[in-house]
Amino acid sequence: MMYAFYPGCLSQTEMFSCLASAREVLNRLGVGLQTMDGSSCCGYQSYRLSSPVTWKYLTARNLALAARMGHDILTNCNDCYLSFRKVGKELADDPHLKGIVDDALRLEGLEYNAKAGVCHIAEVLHDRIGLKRITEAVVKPLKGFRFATQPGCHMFRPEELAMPDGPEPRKLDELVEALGAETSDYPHRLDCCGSPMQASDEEASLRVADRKLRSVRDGGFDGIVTICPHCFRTLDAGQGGTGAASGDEGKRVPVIHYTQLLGLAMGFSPARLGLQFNMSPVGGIIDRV
Amino acid sequence: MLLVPEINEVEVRFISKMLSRLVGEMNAEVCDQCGKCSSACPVSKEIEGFNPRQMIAKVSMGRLDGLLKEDAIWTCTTCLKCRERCPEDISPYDVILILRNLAYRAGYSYPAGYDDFIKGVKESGFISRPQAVRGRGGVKVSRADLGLPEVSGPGDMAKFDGVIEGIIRAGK
Ligand code: SF4
Ligand code: SF4
Repeated sequence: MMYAFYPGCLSQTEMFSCLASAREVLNRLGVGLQTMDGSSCCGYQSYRLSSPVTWKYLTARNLALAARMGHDILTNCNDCYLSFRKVGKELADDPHLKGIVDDALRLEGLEYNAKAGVCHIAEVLHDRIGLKRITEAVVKPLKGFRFATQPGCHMFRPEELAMPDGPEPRKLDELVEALGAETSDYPHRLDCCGSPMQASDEEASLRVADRKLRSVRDGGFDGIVTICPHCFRTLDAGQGGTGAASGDEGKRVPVIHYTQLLGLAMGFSPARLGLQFNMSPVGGIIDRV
Repeated sequence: MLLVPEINEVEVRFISKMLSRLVGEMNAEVCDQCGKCSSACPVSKEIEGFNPRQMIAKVSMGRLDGLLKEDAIWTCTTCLKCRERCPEDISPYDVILILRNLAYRAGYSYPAGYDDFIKGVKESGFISRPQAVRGRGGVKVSRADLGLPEVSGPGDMAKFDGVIEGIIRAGK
């Protein structure tokens, strides 16, 4: 199993824990990750505002690079994933757009031919590697843990793109359960973490996150597991600024990325999974594993 | 309403295209103002006055000018829940994203953070350069400290930016 690895801007420049833990666990599970030389931002968080065609060009350019490598893209970012799927569909449906994009790609000797598929890391883990092999890789089963999950909106919306876990997401729960832990539903599970509002209204963004975190805290969970770097950053690092955490360390909700949790269960040291970067109190989880 | 003084021909073409898409959408799919989008929206629950149902009403009545100047269009988290819930197959999410494009093109104010992201992509190919990150213990750590390889960006940045400038200059 070999993929063109596309971690996206956030994991590459800031959320190193997502990048490090994904590389460690996928490597040991036998997934080959090839670096995409020449890749760039998919445009979803940048040029989409000022020049929608440039956004689509940037996404298509990354797909063209992967096609030239002869691999499907594997991304661990929900936003990049949505961008690849949405733009891929638009290029298939709109020959005029494809013409503009092709003209621009040709200037770099590239071509968009829809040959490279796109996989979200959750799909690779759940559907391609499979729950059975993941359970077999566990050396420290997470018995006695009960987690809330945060799949992130673009794992299951919009419905018309047949996203990897839509419309009723369960895959992240099953991936957590494959490690020996329990999961259960909680109010606001399928609500947004608030991350995209950070650019416009940070305080309101944290209030959206806070509603979810309170619900997790009231549910008596051992923590919340997410598989999106944006959700991870907002719930984890943003938590210091939310009401749920106000002043009281004991009330903070541990937030852990799925590849970190999987890595712990597979026996990796916390440092190799970037657990020193989690700002929420994950020490209890690490000690118990 | 969109004829702000500095606007050039390319902008006008872009804006007309976006407007016709927006109004076309609104004509094809009639919003009955049921409010299911607003009651599902996680932002409406936290910000008083944020109301996708009302935004759709304003668009279908052609009252765009005020809407383009409202903070509300920048507050949507783009979660797509409204789109999922709408019984008429309208997507307030897509409408809001088009309103953002229009507001940007018309020169109205928008959150400063967006400029930083675009600047980052121009300079390095990504929204920012890799930062040294502080862990729980307070110590700053870089990618290299973690044994992570260097970021492989677009390489020839002048060429990369040149292609993008070409697309933007052509008004696309
Ligand atoms: S956009 Fe859809 S959900 Fe919202 S008020 Fe109109 S018909 Fe109802
Ligand atoms: S996409 Fe925006 S308007 Fe729609 S439900 Fe989400 S936050 Fe509300």
